[in-house]
Amino acid sequence: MPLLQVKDVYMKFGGVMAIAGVSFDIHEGEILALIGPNGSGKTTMFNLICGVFSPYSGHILFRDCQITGLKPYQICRKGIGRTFQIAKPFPKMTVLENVMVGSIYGKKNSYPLKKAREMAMSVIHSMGMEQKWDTPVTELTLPYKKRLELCKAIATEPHMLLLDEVMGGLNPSEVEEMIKLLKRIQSNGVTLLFVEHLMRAVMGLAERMVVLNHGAKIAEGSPVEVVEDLQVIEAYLGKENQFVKG
Amino acid sequence: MKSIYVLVVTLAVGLMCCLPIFLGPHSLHIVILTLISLIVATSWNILLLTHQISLGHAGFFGVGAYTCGALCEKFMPIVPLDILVGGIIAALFAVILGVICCRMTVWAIAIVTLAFAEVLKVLVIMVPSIADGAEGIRVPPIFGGVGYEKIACFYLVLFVSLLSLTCAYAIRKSKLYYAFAAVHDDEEAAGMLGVNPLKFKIIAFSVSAFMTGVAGGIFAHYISFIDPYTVFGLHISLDAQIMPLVGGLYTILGPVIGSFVLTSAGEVFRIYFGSGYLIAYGCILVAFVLFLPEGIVGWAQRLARR
Ligand SMILES: Nc1ncnc2c1ncn2[C@@H]1O[C@H](COP(=O)(O)OP(=O)(O)OP(=O)(O)O)[C@@H](O)[C@H]1O
Ligand SMILES: [Mg+2]
Repeated sequence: MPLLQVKDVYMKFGGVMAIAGVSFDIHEGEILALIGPNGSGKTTMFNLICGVFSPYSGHILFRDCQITGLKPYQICRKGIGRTFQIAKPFPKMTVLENVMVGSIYGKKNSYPLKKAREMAMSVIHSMGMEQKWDTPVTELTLPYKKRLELCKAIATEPHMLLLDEVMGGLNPSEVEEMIKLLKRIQSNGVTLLFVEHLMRAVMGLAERMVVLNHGAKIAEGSPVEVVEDLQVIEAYLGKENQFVKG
Repeated sequence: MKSIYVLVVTLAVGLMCCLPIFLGPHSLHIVILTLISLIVATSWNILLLTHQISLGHAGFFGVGAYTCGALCEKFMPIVPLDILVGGIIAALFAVILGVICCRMTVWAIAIVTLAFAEVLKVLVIMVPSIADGAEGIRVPPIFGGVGYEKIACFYLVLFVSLLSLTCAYAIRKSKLYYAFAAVHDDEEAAGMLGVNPLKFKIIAFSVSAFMTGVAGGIFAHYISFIDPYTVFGLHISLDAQIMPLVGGLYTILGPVIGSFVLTSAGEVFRIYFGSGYLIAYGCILVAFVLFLPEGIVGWAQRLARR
């Protein structure tokens, strides 16, 4: 049984079909990459899984249980964590306090403060942010902002993490570190679904990938298969050569 | 550092307790009114924690006051139970308002709450059967109107305002703070971390309204005569936000400093400028918004950090 099943999902914005009949599965423990050109509907797909939008039609099942129509906070408590493409830290709080929001409220029964603080602290350690735990988030640099997004999502103890361009804007050595972090997260038993433009990261991490174009799925398979897929090369690789280079 | 805070707080409370020895009846009256507006300002500041700005706290204040008035008139004086009932009814109104407001922007919330208070005022004025209409009603004094009534009232109000500050402090130190702050900063991100924004916005609304309703009830008993223009008046809603603004938004001490600074400034100006005092008062407010937007407490914290 797949962990997450997306079944023939459609999403409309006004008259525009942003997601048109997409289906795919994610299995327990795997790393799946969701790629596609700008505006192809990747973030929208994330928003559908997380309950920010409900689909125009179609179903999304998590552990064989219908999650379409649930609110984001309910989906979080079912065990799906998510980072935002543009980091959304809570500016009035420190790093630790930001992460604590997730560790207090991320599960069905909220943790007491003391336990939540310890847990947030250990997440911060495991993500290599221990030197920044007391920094106001407005003073963080971009790589740390990206890591904070990860910390917050992990603090909710998810079974599955949706990562929206966590490598965007990082330099090559920071990308390497991020890849290591993600592998470590996966080795702890978390299933990963990630959106990424950086081909090097996609090829290095993904076990399988799904390609979207104009809201439709145009390819799916192992990275090698997908890269060989002609249709993809026409739709995507041909236009975006930076994608091939990386 | 912590022991210094404890010392300062103890000294301040001790000093407040001694006030009736030094102050004449008029000054004591001003202090009581200041403390009542402190409670309202503190509760307004709690609502702000979830990024909801109310322009209608007079509505909750009036509901508290009129509940006391009506209960004492129709049944019998059941102080202090009627004050609590007033708070609870105000909180029920807040739950309804909270549900209406939960998907609105701050500005829309400000307008809806303003309308709420005005509608209640007009209702009470227009429908005499509710509570004697525009003429107002008598409310029996809490302590039976004996000689030391005012001093007793002072201690009651002091006690309740300390309670309201304790409540604000408890929220700051509890899990609620994390949910409030997350909802304040980014509802979408808060939701992704398991926080139900709707729930916490409504909690903030009802806690805030309860405290304001209680303040209204105490006010009614203390003044012993209420009419819609006084207890539903716009000045109550305005004070509720101007005091935290001057003292320091999002801080616990802000409403305390703000209420004392503004009422003392108001009194001094009235003595020196006569009827023109409102102009001077207004100028001070504009100056604060322009030059010290973080309020007195925020400014002091910034100095201390250097
Ligand atoms: N809230 C919204 N309202 C209206 N249209 C939207 C909304 N969100 C996304 N869209 C539209 O849906 C389409 C898909 O957008 P989406 O953000 O999912 O793309 P993406 O694949 O994440 O792109 P990028 O790589 O630039 O992040 C775009 O045409 C976008 O304009
Ligand atoms: Mg996107």
